Amino acid sequence: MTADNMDYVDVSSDHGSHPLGRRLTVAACVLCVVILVFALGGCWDARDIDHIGFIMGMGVDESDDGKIVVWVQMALPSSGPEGAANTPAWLGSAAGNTMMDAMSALRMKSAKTLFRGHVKVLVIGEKIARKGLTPILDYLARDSQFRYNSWVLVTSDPVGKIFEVEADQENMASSYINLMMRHATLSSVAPQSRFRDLLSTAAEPGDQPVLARVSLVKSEPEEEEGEQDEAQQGVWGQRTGNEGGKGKKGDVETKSDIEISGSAALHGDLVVGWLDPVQTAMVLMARNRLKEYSFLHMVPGTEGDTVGVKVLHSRATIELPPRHKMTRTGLRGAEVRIRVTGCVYIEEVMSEEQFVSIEADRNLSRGVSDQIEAEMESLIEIAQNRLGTDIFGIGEAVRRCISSDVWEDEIAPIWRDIFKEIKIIPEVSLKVERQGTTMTSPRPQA
Amino acid sequence: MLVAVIVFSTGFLAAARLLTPVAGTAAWISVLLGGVIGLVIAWLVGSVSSAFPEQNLVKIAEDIFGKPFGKVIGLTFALYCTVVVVLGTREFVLAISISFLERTPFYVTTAVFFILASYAAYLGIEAIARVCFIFFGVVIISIAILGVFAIPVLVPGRLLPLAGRGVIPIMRAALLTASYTGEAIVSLAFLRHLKDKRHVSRAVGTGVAIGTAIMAMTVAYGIMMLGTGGISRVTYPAVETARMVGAGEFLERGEILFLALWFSVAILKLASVFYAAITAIADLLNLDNYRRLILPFGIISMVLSSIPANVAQSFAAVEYFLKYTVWYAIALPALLLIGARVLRHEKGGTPDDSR
Repeated sequence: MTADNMDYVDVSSDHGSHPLGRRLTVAACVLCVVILVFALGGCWDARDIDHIGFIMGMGVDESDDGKIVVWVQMALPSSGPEGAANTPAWLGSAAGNTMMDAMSALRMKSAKTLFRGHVKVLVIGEKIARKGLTPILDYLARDSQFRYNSWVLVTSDPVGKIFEVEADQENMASSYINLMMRHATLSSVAPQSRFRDLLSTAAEPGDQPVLARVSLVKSEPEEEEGEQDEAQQGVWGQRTGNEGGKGKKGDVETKSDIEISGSAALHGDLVVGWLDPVQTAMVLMARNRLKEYSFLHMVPGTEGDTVGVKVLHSRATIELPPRHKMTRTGLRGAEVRIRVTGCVYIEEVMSEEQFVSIEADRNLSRGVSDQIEAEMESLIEIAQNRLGTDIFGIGEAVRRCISSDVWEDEIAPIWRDIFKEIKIIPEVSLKVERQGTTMTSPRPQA
Repeated sequence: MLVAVIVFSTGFLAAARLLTPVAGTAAWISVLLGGVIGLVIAWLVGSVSSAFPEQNLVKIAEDIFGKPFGKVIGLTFALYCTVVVVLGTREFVLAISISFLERTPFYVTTAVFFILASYAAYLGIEAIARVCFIFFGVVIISIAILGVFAIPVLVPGRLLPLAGRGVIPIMRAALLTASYTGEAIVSLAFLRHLKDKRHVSRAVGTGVAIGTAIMAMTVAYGIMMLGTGGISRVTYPAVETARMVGAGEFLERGEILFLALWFSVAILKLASVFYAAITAIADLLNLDNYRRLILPFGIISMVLSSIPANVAQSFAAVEYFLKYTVWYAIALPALLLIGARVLRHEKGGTPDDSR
C-alpha cells in the first residue's frame, strides 16, 4: 500500500471555518512554536560541556578490606595549544561496597559529571577478577552510557599504577592502552576482548572468553644510560613487585611502561589463570580468531638456525564424535579433533638452507606444523588440567549439534567436568605459501 | 508500506527477547512462520475489503450482522486498536527512556508521541501514508547499514541448532509472532481509501511479508550477536545490537541515530492505528467527523499507556497481548468473510448488491 495508491482524504472539512476555531488553531501554533524555541535550544536539562568529565579509562579492583575500588581517568581538554597543559588527565578513585557505591563515592570527588560514554578501556584487577566479574558486568551492562566497544583487560599489577603511566608516545594511559590493543590484537599477542565479547560469551559454558592482559614493565632508566640494556630486559610490576609509576631499582631510577601481551582465561565470570602470548595465539587459532601470528621456527638438524614465519590464514574445525555419542555419558572420554589448516609466509631466514627446493619447502611446512601442534598440545593440557575451562569453544561446537533442551538440561551444567575428560587431539597442517620478494638471502661478499 | 510499518515498527524492539526463550535458536524461523499466518490474515483482510470496497469495518460488520452485533464487532476493533496504540507507545517510550532519555519523565516522551500521532491522525490517512513513503526507505537503509556494520560482530554458528527447542516451541513462538503480523487487520479501517482495490490482498500481504522479513532479520541478528542466553537477558535486543555495532572509531554509539529513525516509523504506526481507532469509534457513535475524538482519545490513551509503570509490567502486558490477540486477528476478518459469503449466498449476489 503506497501513498500514491491512496485516495485524497479531505482534511479541511468542518475545521477552521469557524472564526473561534481559526483563532484557537493560531493560538495553538504560536504556543507550539514558543515551546519549541526553548526545547530545541536545549534550555531544558542542558548540560554544559565544561561541566562534563569525559572518562577515558576505568579500573576496578578489590581493596584489602574487601571493598570494590573504582578508578577513573578523565580527560581534561585544554584550551591552550596541544601539549601545553601539564596535567592532561585526572585520575580519581573511590571505594565502596559495590560498583554503584564506589561510583557514587567517586562522584563526590569530582567537580565534573562523570560521563562514561567515551570509556576506551576497562582494566580489572586480578584480585576481583578471581572472585568474579559479575558485580562489574551487572553495573556496566545496565549503564546505557557505557560503550560496548570498550576494551576489557585484566592485570595482576596495581590498577591505579597502570593509569599513572605516562608513556612517551601518549600521555594518557587509557589512550595508550587503546592504541596498543589495536596492534596487539592484530598481531594476536592478545585477544580482541571488547566488553561486547565478554557479555556475549560469559553466559555460555561452552564458549568461555579470554581477556587481554596488561602489565607494568620497566622502561629505560632516566639517568644512567649504561644501565639501559639491563633495564630493558627486566620486567617490572607483578614480577618485581613495583609499587609506583616510577621506582628505584638499586641506584637506577626507572620509569614504568605498559605492556599488553597474553591473556586471562575465564570460567564463567572468574579468572582462572593466565596464558602467555604463544598460548593466547593458540587459543585464537583454535577459535578462528587469529589475525596473524609471527614466530621463530628452529630448523631441525642445525645449530640454532631459525626461520621467521608468519601465519597468514588459518582455519580450525572441531571434529566431534558421532551425534548419538553426544550425551552426558558418551562425551566423557570421547575423542575430539581440532584440525587446523592454513598458510605461512617466510619473513626471515637465518640459515644456510634457503628453502627453495620442493623437499625443503615440504620439510619446513611439516616442521612448522609440528611446532604449532606441540604448542597446542601443551595448551590443551593446561586448559584441561590446570585451568579447567573450555577456552577452545568445544562445548559451543557440541551445543550446535544437539537439541537445545539436551544441551541446556543435561550437558551444560556439567560441561566443565566433561571437558576435562575429553581426549582433545590437535592436527595442524600449515603450508608455506609465500617466501617474500627474494628467494635467497642477500650474501654480501667482503 | 504502511502495513509493513504497522507490523514491525514497535514489535521488533523486543520480539527477540520474547521469542528466544520459547523457540531458542529457531526464534527467527518462528518469525517467518508467524509471517505465513500473517499472510493468511492479509488474504482474509483483502477478501473482506474487496467484498466491501467502499466501507469501513464498522459499516461492513453492521451490513453483515445487523446494527447491534455490528456495533459490538466495531467496539472490539476499536478496543484492539486502542490496546495496540497504548502498548506500542509504552514500549517505545520505555526503549527511548531507558537507553537515552534517562532523566526525561515518561509522560513528557509519551506526550510528544501522542501530540505527533494526534496531529498525523488529524491530517488523515493520506498524510500518514505519504510521510511513510519518505521515512520507510530511510529506515530500511538504516537497518541495512546496521546489518552491514554488524557483520564483523556476527557469529552465525549461534543460530545452530536450526530446530532450536523443537517443533512445538517453534510453533508456539510462531503464534506469538502472528500477533504482530496480525496487526495488519488495523488496515481494515482505511483500505477503502485505496484507489486500486483489485489487489488489496496482495498489497496487505506484501506489507506483512516486508514487516516479517525485517523482524526475522532483527531476531536472527540478535541471536548471532548476543546468543540465546544474552538475548533473553537484555531489555531491548534491537537497541543492544545497535549498541554493539561500530564502524571503526568514526561511527560509535550509532544506536542513537538508529533509534531516532525508528522513532519516526513508530510514530507513523501509532498514528495509523490511532486513526483506525478513532474512525472506528466515530462510526460506532455515528459521528460525521472523527476529528472531534482526537483530543479525548489521545488523552485517554496517554493515561492508559502510563499504567505499566516499568519494563516488567510493560512486558507482562505485551506477553498477554501476544498470547491472545492472534486469535482475534484471525477471527475478525474470517468472521466478516464468512458472514459476507453467507449473505451473498442468501441474497444471490454480491454483498454490495445487498445494501
